[in-house]
Amino acid sequence: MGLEARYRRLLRWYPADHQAVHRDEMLGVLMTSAEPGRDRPGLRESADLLAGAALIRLRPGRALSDRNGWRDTLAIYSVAGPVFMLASAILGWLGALLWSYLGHTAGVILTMSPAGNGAFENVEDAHPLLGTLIWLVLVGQAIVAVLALAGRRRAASVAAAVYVVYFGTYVVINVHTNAGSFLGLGLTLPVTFVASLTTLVALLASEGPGRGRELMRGRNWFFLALGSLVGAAVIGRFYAVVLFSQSVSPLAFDLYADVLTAVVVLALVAAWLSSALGKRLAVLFGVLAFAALLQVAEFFYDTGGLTAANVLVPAGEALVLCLLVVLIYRTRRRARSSGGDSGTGAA
Amino acid sequence: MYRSSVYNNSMSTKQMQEPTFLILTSLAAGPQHGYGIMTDVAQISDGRVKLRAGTLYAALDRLSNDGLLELDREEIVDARLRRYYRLTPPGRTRLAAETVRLRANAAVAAQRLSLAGG
Repeated sequence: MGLEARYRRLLRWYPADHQAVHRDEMLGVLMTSAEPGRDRPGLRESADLLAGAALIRLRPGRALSDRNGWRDTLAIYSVAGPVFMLASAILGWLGALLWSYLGHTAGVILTMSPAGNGAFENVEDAHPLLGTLIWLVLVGQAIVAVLALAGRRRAASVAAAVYVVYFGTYVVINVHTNAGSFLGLGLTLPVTFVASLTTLVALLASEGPGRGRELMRGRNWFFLALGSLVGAAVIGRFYAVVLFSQSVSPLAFDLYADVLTAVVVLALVAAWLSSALGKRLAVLFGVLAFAALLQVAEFFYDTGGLTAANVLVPAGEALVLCLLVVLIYRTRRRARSSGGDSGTGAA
Repeated sequence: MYRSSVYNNSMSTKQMQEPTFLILTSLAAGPQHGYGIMTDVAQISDGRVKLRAGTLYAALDRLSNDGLLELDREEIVDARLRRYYRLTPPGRTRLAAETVRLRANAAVAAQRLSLAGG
């Protein structure tokens, strides 16, 4: 590999919009100022380039200058959302398998999944229909993810819509079998339902997962996979705590919630200071993170009756849904006014 | 006293770092391309400040965002892209304000040194 190729590799650390404008120019400067005979950048020079890239990425208020704004972000999310939820389901599965190997009932596998109902510790305690529903919900997640990864927008939209309706029905049955328990609803509604709803919004409002895949070239796939695993592990950890640590003190629960909050806030801040696309993607995943926090809040603080938590948490969920409605409305209106056709993306 | 008169300038309330001052100074005489700025800054500072490409382009990005400089023109030289930058009117004003501030500080320092020496 020659000097220029090595410089090019270092310049890939710069934000995409900066690279598009300045890469060739910077290469010219670097090659002109390079000492004759050198075949690789010096340590100081490499560090200087990496520091420059970090400075530019971390500059607060970098302009939201990408051309398609929310439409492109939603296109990425239409792939990233289902992948994230599938990763979450798979990790939940693995955690449950590990749990059963440790000598606990295998029935927990059903109730351990992110789509499962944490109110049951043994499958025998659950309504048989609920067990079936949980499995179908998991399969539904996998179908949406596979179709999205294949770039099939229409099919993925239909699957996601069926999934949302189906999961809504599941929530209703869940509430019924738990005698209207707010806790039963709270453990299942926020993350899984909001994730399926945001995925449907992304599929409908953007040019679809085909465009999303196009935008996620190169190492973006690596970051998506890594982010999905980390995020899913955080949520999976939450389920593990909720299901199997009933004897842990409320203080430990609070501590866990604080840690989760800190992780989410740090991730959001990091994404916010990066590219425009990253900021918008952070908002969408922030909705999921917010839903996860609501779950924590509901589990810890739901004591029945008209408490502050019982009023504030549903209000927060309503806020999330309203934000999603506004998002899809604004995106589609902007697409229409700019002459784009958001309804005929790659299928 | 100086602080209030200089810092009332609407362009910025922050003290300018030396590399930034030198980059703006380099552009004060006319448009320059990236490599030209690097060599000019080294010359102006008598070799004391040597900008590297990463530092230079991070500064150019920031100054451009702040509206202190802008693109002048592009050229292809030896199959390499050269982009020339120039000061904007606010950039010129900001450099002038910084020059006044530095000169005032230097004058006070010189005056006190002469008093102490005398």
